[in-house]
Amino acid sequence: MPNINLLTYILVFITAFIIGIVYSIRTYPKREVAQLFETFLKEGYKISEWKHFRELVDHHVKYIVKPNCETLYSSTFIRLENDNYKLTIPQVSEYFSVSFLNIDTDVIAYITNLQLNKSLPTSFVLSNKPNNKGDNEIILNTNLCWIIVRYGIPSADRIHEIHELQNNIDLIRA
Amino acid sequence: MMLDLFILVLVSVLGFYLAYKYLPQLLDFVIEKSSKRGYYNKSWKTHFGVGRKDTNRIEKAAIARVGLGGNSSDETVYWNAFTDSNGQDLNTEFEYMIVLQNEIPINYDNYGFWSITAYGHDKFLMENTNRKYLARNSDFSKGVFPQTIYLSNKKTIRKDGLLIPLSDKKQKFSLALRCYRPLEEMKSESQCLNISMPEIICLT
Repeated sequence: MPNINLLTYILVFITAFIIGIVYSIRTYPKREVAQLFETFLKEGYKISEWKHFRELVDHHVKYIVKPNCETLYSSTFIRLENDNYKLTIPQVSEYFSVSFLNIDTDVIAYITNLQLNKSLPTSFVLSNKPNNKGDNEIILNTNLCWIIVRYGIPSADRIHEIHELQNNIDLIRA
Repeated sequence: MMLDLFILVLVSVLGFYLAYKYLPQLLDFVIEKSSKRGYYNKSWKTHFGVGRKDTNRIEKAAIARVGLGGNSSDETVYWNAFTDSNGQDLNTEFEYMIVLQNEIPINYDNYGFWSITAYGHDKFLMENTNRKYLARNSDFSKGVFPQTIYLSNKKTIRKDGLLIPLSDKKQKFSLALRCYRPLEEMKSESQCLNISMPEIICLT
């Protein structure tokens, strides 16, 4: 005669399943970003080094769902526990945005065409604390930040212009 | 007694593991079927929680599932369609016509633009030899309406509009309308319901 009946097992299974769902939902965005970060490092990229996506995606791309095939990307991760970074963006004349995300996928800050000088490169200091030096400062309040740059492509034959932009976007430790 | 305890632990671990492993599929179900999610306009639905800290955990997980790293709604509004204007699931065995009767409210003067992309049931781009997956506003003359986009797996369906090829394999598919630099009416939860959105008409 068993001490625990079948109903108890079922209840325990359901409870564990529900706890698993709640836990997984809470951690899913972090899990996905952590996986991307791990892949980024495994591919040999270093913190603050740009990973440039030079070609428009096609049906062979399976690393991200619903890939966007109207912009090119550059992406990197920075750690802000001890370091500040200086981001310099060249002159841009097409759709352009930089988004800064924390590990929970919240967009903490943006840079768009509106914040850029139309005729000169524009620099920003990325940091966790204000430095009061009068720089174009972006306070991110996160230890690990995922940076995604999106470049609009006017037409396929002008893709080389975007490559030049990618080559000239500069991110260094401040 | 020890065996009972062992089975109990095993059952708990199994329950937790299955939940963890199959969450993405559960999220897919929530995304496609839940009628309470987001805002609807014709076949299109959107959600303004992308990239926002105050978005609830379920929504945040669902958004990470379909659009990891997406722009927040201040910068880009993402609309998805899984059905045609009659409420039938989009399926590659049929042909469709997307008709835009009005300008989509975007800040075109500040490099804003829109695009419509077709995705297979697996959420990836569908294979086609021309590597053509989307249509965008720059494919059309500005201010000239209606603007028509055809969706079909037949290469020569029409010559009077743009064609986004569909997969030869029979499957459900979805459309994503991305609106970069949306105007206020597109970003507003109440006003976005009154925008003239593209209509998705099944032709067969």
